[in-house]
Amino acid sequence: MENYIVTVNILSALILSLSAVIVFVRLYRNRVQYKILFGVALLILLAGSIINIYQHTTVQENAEEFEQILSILFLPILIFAIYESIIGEQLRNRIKSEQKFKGIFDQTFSFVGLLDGEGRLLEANSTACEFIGYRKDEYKGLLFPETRWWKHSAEEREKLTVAIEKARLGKTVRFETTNIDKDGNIRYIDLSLKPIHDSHDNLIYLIGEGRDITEVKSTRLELEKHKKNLEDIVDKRTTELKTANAELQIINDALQEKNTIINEQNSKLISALNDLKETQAQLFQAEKMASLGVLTAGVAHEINNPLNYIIGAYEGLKLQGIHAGDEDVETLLNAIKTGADRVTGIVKSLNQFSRNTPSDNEECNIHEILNDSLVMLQSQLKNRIQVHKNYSNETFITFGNVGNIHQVFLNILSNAEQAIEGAGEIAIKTSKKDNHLIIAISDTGKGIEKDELTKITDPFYTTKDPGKGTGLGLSIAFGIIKDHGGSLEFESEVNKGTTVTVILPQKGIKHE
Amino acid sequence: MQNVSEILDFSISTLLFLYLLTLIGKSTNYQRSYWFWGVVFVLFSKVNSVLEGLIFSTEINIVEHTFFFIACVFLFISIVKREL
Repeated sequence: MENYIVTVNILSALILSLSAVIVFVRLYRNRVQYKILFGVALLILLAGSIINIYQHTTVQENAEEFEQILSILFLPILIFAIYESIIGEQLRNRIKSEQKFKGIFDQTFSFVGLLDGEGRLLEANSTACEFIGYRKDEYKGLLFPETRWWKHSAEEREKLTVAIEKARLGKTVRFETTNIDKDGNIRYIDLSLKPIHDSHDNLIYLIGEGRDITEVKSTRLELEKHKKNLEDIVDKRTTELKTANAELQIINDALQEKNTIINEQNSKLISALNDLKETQAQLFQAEKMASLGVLTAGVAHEINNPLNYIIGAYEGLKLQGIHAGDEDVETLLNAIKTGADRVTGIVKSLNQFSRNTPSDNEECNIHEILNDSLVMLQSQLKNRIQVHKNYSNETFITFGNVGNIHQVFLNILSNAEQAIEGAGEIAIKTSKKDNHLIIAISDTGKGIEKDELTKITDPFYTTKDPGKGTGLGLSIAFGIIKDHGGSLEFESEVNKGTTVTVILPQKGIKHE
Repeated sequence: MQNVSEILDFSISTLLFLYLLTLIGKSTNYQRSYWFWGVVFVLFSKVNSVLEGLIFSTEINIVEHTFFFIACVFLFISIVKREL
């Protein structure tokens, strides 16, 4: 038992010795009060331990009391050392932190000041003090607006007082102001005041922070000046441009007016060109018809001579009476006569068609002209189309150009014939009404659509298949009848037929 | 007489220790530190010392010295780990 206690005490003494050595080594490197206390406490503890060993190895009455005294000393010293160690460390950390923040506070380029709730200046950083030339603590306790920074202007002091009042109400205030420096120069300052509250929301401090913005301000003023100059230049240029634009607008209007005139003239020219083309086509057709007339007249003349021989020979044979008693010879002679009459009729018709007299005051017997036209179309009509003539019994004569009137009826009859596919009929009815000759020619052909009826007298308009008509026939006929003081009317029904009515003034009433 | 002084010693030490803990309580998490347990074991040792004086038991004496040894170990570790 005693041995165990002695052993434990020896081990304790060794550990305590080692601890004390460590503490004293550290104390040598860094002399701090609490480490001395530690060392003392450990030595006391060590001494107690040694006394304990001594007590348990020898019988010593005084040892117990001595140990008791050491024991009473030990713990208070140890506890005090611990207190010093912990609290001292915290204090040292706090001092370090304070030095760090003080350094930041002093070395920043901004002006920083700490104000109490009444607006008295408690602390100002080195930057602010050097700016105005304050010595340390010279400003302490002064109301902020009464410090030297503001002595140059009552107006700025008033602004600051108002700002402090606002900040005391809990608002962060920022405004631009001026301060005077130690050399008497006025500097522009961007100042802000921020309130700081404790955990119970009571105002404890106001922090004032200012930045010298004189350079920025002067640069800004310079920029504004340049901006104003630029705006003036832009305004001037804009005015010039507007003037130029107005002038251009006037020129443009004039050009547009001229353009309108040119367009109108262009339209007129196009119209004239179309008229010219139309006229050229009509001229071309007229020339063609004139050539055809000359050709026809030549052919008729050439046929007429041998025809005279045939008729003369026939008359001679008849006068000699060689057919008497011989029916066959008489039949042959009649055949010659019939053929010769027919050729005579054709020649006469050709002559009428090809008459090129410029006179427009010839007597035109419409019935004769109609018959001649039918003779000329006989080859197309025979065995296919029946012609029904319903001529008036009255004299049917008008004034005009026989050749042209012939051309009109030949054209109308030819159209009627071409409109009939296969077998059909053509009816010709002549009558008089109010001193006018009315000639109606109807066919049983395919008819014309209603919307096409108004266009059929237009030049180059045709309802015939391509290559079968020029589109000029009715246009020319219309022109001729108009020239004769008459008119043309059309009625048609699809698949039933067409009626063309020619109205001409009768003889004795000359057209103008 | 000796017991009275031991009880006084223990009481004063305990009070000082508690006062220390109240002082540093808010700023440090002392329950995790070695010095705290070192001091606690010293106090346990003192309790045993007082009991030993009253009961005169050998077992308590052994416990007292064992606790004292443990306290020394904790204080040593605390110093080595630079807690103090």
